[in-house]
Amino acid sequence: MIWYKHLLWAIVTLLFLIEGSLIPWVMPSLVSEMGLFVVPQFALILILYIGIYLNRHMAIAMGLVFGMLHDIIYYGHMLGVYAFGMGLSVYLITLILRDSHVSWYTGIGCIGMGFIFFDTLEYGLYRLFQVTEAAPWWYFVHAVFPSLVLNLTFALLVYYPIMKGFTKIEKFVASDDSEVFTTGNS
Amino acid sequence: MTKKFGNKRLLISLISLVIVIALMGVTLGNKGAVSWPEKMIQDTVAWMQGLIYKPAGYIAGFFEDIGNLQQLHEENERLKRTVSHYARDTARLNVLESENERLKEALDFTERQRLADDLIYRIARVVAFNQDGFNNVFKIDLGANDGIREEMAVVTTEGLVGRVIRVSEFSSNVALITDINDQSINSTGISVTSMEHPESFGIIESYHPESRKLIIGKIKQEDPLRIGDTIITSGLGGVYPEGLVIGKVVSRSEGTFGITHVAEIEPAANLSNPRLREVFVVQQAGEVIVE
Repeated sequence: MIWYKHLLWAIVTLLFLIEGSLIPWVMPSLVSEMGLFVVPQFALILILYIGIYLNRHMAIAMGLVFGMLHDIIYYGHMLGVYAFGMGLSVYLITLILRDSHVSWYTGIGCIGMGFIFFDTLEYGLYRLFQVTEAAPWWYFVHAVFPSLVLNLTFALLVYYPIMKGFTKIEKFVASDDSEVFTTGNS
Repeated sequence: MTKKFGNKRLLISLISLVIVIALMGVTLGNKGAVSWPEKMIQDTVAWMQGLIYKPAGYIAGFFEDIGNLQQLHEENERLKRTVSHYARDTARLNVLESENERLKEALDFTERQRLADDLIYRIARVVAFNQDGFNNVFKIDLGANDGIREEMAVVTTEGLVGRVIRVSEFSSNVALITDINDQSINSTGISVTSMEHPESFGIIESYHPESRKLIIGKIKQEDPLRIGDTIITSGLGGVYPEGLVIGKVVSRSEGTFGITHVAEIEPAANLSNPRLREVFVVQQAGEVIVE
């Protein structure tokens, strides 16, 4: 572990805390009046960025850890849904983008795909265990789509600062001879 | 591609899939005891979330108040009228209460029976909210240390919002009543009655997310329940104490087989809005450990 890893874990933790505590207050009340479920998943966004542009293995580990943390903290029906969903979507999205230079629109598009995949998986699992009876189409219109809008907006907003940070990290690692830097993308 | 998906990798992914599905199956139903690592994680994270949630709530509330300044005068008038009504009702209530007390004394109620009617409303602060449509849970900053137990009812000033499902030392999880579902092994119905027709009997079986109404199924045809009635808990289920307001009946129609009736209830508390600051955990006086 070197300093940038600690820093990234700390930032993801902060985003995770903000999801449940700050965002309900920032969200306009119109959203709840219309009966929409806007689910902020900022931690997953940063994890996907890390997976796509920096270090694949670290991102998968983060997905599993923060998914499990989410499951435990908001333990309502069962454990493992978020851990499984986040782990698998990070794994698949980074698998698609292996060995390739990723432009910004591909990156954002793949993050969007990851979110749709994650939400579908979550719905499927809750449906499988008969926790919910909501119709798929209703769920897509009232939860998946509005959440996607919020999350992609956030992803776009943080794209530039994140890329700056990643370049700094890569420069630092490249100048450091003691450790061979692997992006996990090779 | 086949090379990348080597045998070893395939094996690992299959095993982890099995483990995850097994974990979900085993933990389904929220029945297991809360272990100490979970308690530690719960309490630590709840404390940190509280640090963010509370100030954010105050700031958001401040701006909301400025926006509502126009309506304040009107609201004040209305509240003054309500308070005068309350004063009159309280006087009547005091008389009735003392009479009730006297009659109970005469009929030799045990201490436990008398305490069961005595509800204690413990105020709790919300520290975090998760509302993704399936797993609607919020965390409060009271836990086992404050006498909170599982299955306690949680209300706001408007009405019932949920029940405590998981308790650690200094925080607990509350499931919203929107998670009630008669198909799921997780949820339990709420036995209810009508404030206007106390002989009415029904069980809230599920929540309809599309119309945002609670559903009472299997009402007898001769049941006196009417549209517009206020629905309260009847206390018959043993989980929720008697007399907590849930909502108003908006429709009553024949059920699927035409033998029983189905009623829809508009919840009194705003269940879709996650902006809760304080909630009340309802304890029955008999349950509280005297320190």
